[in-house]
Amino acid sequence: MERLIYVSESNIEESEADAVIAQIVANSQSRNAQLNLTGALIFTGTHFAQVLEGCKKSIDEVMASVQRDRRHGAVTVVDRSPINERQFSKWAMAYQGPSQFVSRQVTRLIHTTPGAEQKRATEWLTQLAREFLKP
Amino acid sequence: MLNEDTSVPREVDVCPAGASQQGNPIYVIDDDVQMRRSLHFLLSTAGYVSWSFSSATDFLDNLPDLEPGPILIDVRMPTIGGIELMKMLVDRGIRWPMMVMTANADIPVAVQSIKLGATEFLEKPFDFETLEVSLKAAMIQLAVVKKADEVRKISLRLFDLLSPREIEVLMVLIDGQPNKVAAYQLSLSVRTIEMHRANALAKLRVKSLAEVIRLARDAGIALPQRKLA
Repeated sequence: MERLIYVSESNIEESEADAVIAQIVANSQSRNAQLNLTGALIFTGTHFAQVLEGCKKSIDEVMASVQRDRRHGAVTVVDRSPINERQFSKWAMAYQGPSQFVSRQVTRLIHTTPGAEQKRATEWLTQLAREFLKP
Repeated sequence: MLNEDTSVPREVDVCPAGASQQGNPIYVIDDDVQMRRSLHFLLSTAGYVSWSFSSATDFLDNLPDLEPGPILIDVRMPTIGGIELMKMLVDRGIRWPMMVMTANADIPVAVQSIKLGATEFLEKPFDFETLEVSLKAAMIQLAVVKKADEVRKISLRLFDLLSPREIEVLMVLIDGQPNKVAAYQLSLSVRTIEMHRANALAKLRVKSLAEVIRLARDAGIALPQRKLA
């Protein structure tokens, strides 16, 4: 089993954002459930960040469609590592909104150099997503 | 309410420089006097009008007299903490942008404050540039909130003109009932229903039930789900 985290730049018009995101979430939810993928999506208005957990084949399949998707670009895979257990029980939208704080956490992922610092930023964002999904 | 700028004569605060350009005041709530002083200095240097409060209670006491403005709230304060204060403000229907500051940034607190509507979560020490970016966003958000509050006030004032009977009739009609059914439900004649309807629409200065629904939404009044398309 693997965990992948990527950050991408949104190409979505602000005025259409709510409708487009709702559609993305609905599609992803059913597809990821079929592929047995868990994780979370964060949308800050300018960027997406997504955590995906599952088998390699499922993650590859989703990433292939992510790369083709014109609604976002500059897809940067920040981390892809083997995992023993999942941190998310399902796939869900963790946060969508104007928080500058969340936005900084997301952009920090692409602006840190790979290594320990990026690993920490990755972990922090995963925990942030988990916290948002707590009831 | 404190004005932290002790070096400047008090009169200056009555008409602060740059107030007209920057518009809304910024409220700082922090028990740490050093933090209040430095924020006050930085904000006034940047041309903002800022008011400091040493506790949540002090802020709440003054709240009825305050102009809308972004609120900078420290998380850890004695008696009433920042998160608790945010909950109280939300309960009171205050929708001014809230920004949270804390020296001990932990994820649960960050998420809790964002869920309560905080537009920003700043980890102390933060640089002023970060604060200014959030303040600019907060001012835009405040303008939207102020406009919506104004619209709500005007719409509510119109609904205040209605008699209880007229409200009752409107509610049944909005629920999708034809005049005949409404008359039966309220034990009135169809003619009386029509009269109340016409009077209510005139008072609300609208021509249709659809407009009443829109006005009610603006006023923040809960309506029954409409069954008719």
